[in-house]
Amino acid sequence: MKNLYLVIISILCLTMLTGCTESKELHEHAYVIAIGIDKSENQEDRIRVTFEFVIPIAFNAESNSQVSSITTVESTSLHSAISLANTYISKELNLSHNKVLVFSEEIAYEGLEKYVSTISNDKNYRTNMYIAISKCSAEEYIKNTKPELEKNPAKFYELLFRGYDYTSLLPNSYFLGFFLSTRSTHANPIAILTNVDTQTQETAKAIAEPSESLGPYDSNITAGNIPKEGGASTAALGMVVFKNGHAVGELTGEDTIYFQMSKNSFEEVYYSIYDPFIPQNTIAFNLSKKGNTKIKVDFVNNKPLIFIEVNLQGNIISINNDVDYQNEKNLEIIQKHLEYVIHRNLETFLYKTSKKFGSDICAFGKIAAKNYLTITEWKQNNWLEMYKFSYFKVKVNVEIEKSGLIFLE
Amino acid sequence: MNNRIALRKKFKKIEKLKKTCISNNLQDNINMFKEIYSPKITIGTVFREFELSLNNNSYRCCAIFIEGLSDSDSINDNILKPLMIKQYNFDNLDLAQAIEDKILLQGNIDNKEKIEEIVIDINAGNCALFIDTLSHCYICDVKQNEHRTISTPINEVAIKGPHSGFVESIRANTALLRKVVNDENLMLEKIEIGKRSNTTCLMGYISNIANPKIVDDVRNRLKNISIDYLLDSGQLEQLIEDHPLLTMPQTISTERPDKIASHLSEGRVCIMVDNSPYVIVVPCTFWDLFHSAEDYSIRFQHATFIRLIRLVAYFCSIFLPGIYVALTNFHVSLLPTDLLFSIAAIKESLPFPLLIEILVMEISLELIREAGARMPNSIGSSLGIVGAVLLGQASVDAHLVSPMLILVVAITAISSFATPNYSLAFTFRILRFVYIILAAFMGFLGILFGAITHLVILCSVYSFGVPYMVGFNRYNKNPFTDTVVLAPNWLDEFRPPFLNPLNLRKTSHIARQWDSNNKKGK
Amino acid sequence: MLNQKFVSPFAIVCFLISFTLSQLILSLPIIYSRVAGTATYILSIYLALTMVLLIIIISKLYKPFYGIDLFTVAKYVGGNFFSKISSALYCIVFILLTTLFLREVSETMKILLFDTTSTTIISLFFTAAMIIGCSAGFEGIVRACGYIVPIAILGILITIIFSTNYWDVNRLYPLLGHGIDNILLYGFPRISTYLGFIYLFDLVNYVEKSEELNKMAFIYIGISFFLITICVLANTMAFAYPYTDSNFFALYDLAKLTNLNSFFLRSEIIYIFTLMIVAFIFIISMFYGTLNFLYKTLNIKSNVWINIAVGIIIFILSNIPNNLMEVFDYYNIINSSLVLPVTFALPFVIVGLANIKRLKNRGNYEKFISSNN
Repeated sequence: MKNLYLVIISILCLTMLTGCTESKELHEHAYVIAIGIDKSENQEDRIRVTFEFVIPIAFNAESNSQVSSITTVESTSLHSAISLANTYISKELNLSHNKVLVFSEEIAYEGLEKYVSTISNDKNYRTNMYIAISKCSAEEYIKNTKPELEKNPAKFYELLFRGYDYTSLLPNSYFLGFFLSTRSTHANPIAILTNVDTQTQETAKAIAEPSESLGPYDSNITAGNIPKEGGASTAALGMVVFKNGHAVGELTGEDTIYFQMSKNSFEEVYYSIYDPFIPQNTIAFNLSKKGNTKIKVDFVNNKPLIFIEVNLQGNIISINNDVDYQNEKNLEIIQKHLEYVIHRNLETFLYKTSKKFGSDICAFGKIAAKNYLTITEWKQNNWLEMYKFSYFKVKVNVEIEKSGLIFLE
Repeated sequence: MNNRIALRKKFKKIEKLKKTCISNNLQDNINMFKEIYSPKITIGTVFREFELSLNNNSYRCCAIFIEGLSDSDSINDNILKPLMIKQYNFDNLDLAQAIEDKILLQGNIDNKEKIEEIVIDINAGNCALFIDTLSHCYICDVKQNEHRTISTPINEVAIKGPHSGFVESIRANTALLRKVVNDENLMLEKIEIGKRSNTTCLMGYISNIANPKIVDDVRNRLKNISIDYLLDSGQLEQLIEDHPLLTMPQTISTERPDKIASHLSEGRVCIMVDNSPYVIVVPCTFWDLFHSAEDYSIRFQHATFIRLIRLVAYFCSIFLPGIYVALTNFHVSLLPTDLLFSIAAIKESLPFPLLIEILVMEISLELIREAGARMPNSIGSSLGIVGAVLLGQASVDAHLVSPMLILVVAITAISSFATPNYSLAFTFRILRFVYIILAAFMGFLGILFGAITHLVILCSVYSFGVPYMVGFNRYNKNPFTDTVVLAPNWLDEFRPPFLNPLNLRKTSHIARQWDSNNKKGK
Repeated sequence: MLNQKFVSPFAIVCFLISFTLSQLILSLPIIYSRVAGTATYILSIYLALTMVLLIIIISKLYKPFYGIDLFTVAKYVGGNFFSKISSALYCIVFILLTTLFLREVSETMKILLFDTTSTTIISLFFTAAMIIGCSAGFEGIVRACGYIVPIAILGILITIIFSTNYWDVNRLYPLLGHGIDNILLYGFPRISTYLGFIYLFDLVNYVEKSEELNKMAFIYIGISFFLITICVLANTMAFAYPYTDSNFFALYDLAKLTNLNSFFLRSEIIYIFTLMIVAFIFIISMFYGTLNFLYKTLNIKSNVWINIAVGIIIFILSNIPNNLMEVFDYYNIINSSLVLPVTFALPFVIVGLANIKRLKNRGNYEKFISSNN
């Protein structure tokens, strides 16, 4: 009797052996680390998908082979591109280590909705991969990315797009944030802008927007126009603004600073203005956050009125020897001038998002929802449509510390 | 054929003879014992006949003993000499009383009548003294006590703590234990196990601490074993366990008297077996297999740290190869990218799938261990080094296995050496293979299926009335349970309550009286 | 404690917590979010207060019957027939819940981890664990819960703590979510979160002092409330409102948000480990409940062959729904029609009737008490 019991249990356990269809050795995967999607030039409804693979044997100490290989496939959708690619690549594609997803500008202006929903439904992708829009085609961007400081291109992408930790010129654009913002009733999404740098061989001039002599606007440019030579041949700078699932415009690198200030994720930045005493010189400051940004939303005649108060602190970095900056009166003049400059630029940025683009990228909707009690009321007043009628009242407080100056008369 | 039948008939007759009592007549007794012991065929037994003169009567006597087992000086001085040397004259005493009270100089004597018992005693090394017209005989304890000198226990090394260990003679062991425990309530009950070997087993407990239910249970089990020969305490462990089919050991076995003493003071029962230096302690819980000998001699912070490291070692020695197989074969998305590329770099050029590699490396490690254990000491250590270097380095250079795998197997081997309990290390070696195969079937799901089913079955095991996996619970306001974290010995006030001892408190509420006296005095 | 089959109070509280923990890990945040919108913490406070009230009422009603099993009280009320009917109802509830949970957990594993295997293979593993684990008896299961549940709670807390970078309190506005009336009306069937109540009355045989069951129930509700509130708050604060209506694997998405360092990007391994151990121990407990009440109804001793047969029947029944959405539909129907009345109404009915009978002095209350203690 006991023997029969054991025999039945063993037969039951033997059926569990059939589960190892899932088992795949490490060297039977092809690891994709970047995907780029372009519109096809020849046919209307097709897309070109670019995959970048990592070749693991290049990580051995002795070998000198290429680290990554790039291939492009043309088809109607992302998943059929993957199945086509599986036919001529000797291993099965593994998408779980994908680091960045690049779309070209044409697709962004047309509409990203279908790609984003397909990708978010697939559990293979990790939702903290980065999403980027590129001015040139995605294929060129991926082909021109040659990392110099590390061997592993996956690490290059990770570290590059993590720049929002230590500089305010880059926003945090990860896929889940983008996807949540497309579905959200409070805010609109943004994505980082990338481009191949076209001015590597010749000296470039800074292309800046005309100003009223308020500042040198070093970073008032987008990617592709950075005046540099050497280094990586691609760059990421600036943002693309979305509304209703397709892109409506671009913002420069300097606007990202104001974006971070309004969104309360500002850390620190090097800012420069023209000297109020000697207009040819510039003064550079190191500004950082002093307390949270205070935001309040009121409704006046069914139009939103948004109060923003930004608190900053900083110290002067570069000075000119001719004027005495230790004097308190002089410092006050400089402080007031700095506040005025930031105030003007912040207002310009906010009205640009509101009037020109009509999309609430700084997520003021979250604060506006405080005025309602239930979700049905909130949904009735459609915040995203109301945003373009909004007015702003901006207040900037900067406190310049009197330390750090060692030059005496 | 006739020979076999005749021999079996003869042995049956002797068995029947053993069940009777001795007679008054000395010659009958001598003949019976000569049949049993066959002195014409084998050497060993000595039948010494002599005469005793008492009260002007002379009685024939015979002393039967086995030379080699008994101490001949003692026999000559205490038995033969006083009985033979002069003529005694005690008027008001009869023969038996005169011999017991006045003549026989031996310290430890006993009266026996049944032949079975006398045979057992003579086999143990005592001397049986038969006197004509007496219907009982005297058993004199003249056992010789040659044994290995008491030295460091070979397999349980402690850096800080006493260095003496048990030896094979039960008398020396008893003496050592009594010296350490030093309590008059230490009871050592003698039980003889084995129909032919009649091995002496002593059941020891402290009578005003140990739970009488446990003591009765152990005694019941020991008395109702029927086997032929009992050679070692390891055999006895398997005969009295609750669940002999389970891989895990359910008794503690140790060579050190200080460990036995601390277990006895908690209320457990110890069993000593003759000819075996290992002493068994019951009941046992899973967490007792964590403890090593010197946990009570060193500071509680150090002991807790070492126990936590042992916990990590246990976990690594069972699960680490299985987790490696599961992660790289099934769940590639759970590895960090850099680690993945450095493993995949080398895996590209290897011929075998991962499961075969791991099984081959583990089996060869077991072979090296077995070979090193059987070699004489001079060659054993160098074989270990040669084997490890050859297997590891050469297979990596020949591109047969990956270096990451060698690292995993080496860490697993080191963790299994850190296990202080010998039987538990065997259990883990077997379980490791089961988990590797389960991981190759279904990744993490397979490993956790095995682990949780095993845990649930272990939690339902009772060993001598005490649950095997007793929990970390607080009983009776005792904040410390001596499982993983060791309490300082001045805070550890209660004996383990799952044993339900007769008195629960072992240390008073303030153990460092001098400290509180100082504070009060000031 | 020797030779008595008692288990410690800590292990029993852990056993009860595993009933809530299994729902928390799978689909509780989305169910709360569909009812209450952004005000999920209000719903959990409301449910916890209701449970406390229920426990106070039933402990007062149960006072004259301390130390006696619920089904024996049912025998006192209506004889053998009534007692068999109640235990049969419990058995049916357990069978249905086990079937649905088996299917839900296998589908979750398949979607999250194993893409190409079929669901039946994964169900086979759980079925085998069920059958083998139940041969260990009640003390084994409860003691194992005492080891596993603290590790699982630690896993959940670590997952939630690693995601605090992405919390934003402003996502909790508008404050009242879908409205107070919606929360009170549609939120009441969600009291089946506290499913541990179903087993509370059968524990009387295994606890040393049955007066302490009160305290254990309150500790269970307190810890469950704390875990549920933290989990739904983290879910609402990290993901904005419309998304919380549609992510079925809320804690998995929370676990993937970790962004401390490039090494810690894969911390969802902790969530997967927690999910598997809670799933195993919960399904063993539910299967044990089924067998227990089945044997009580039929009044026979436990038998290995009946265990295997019931296990295979549950495995076959779990293949009836076509996909995960149908599992939720079936669960909603069964919840409002069977689980809620049997779990929360039937004990009150039985104990209420028993008290009425005792007050009217019919049925020899003293004889009944002395014969059952």
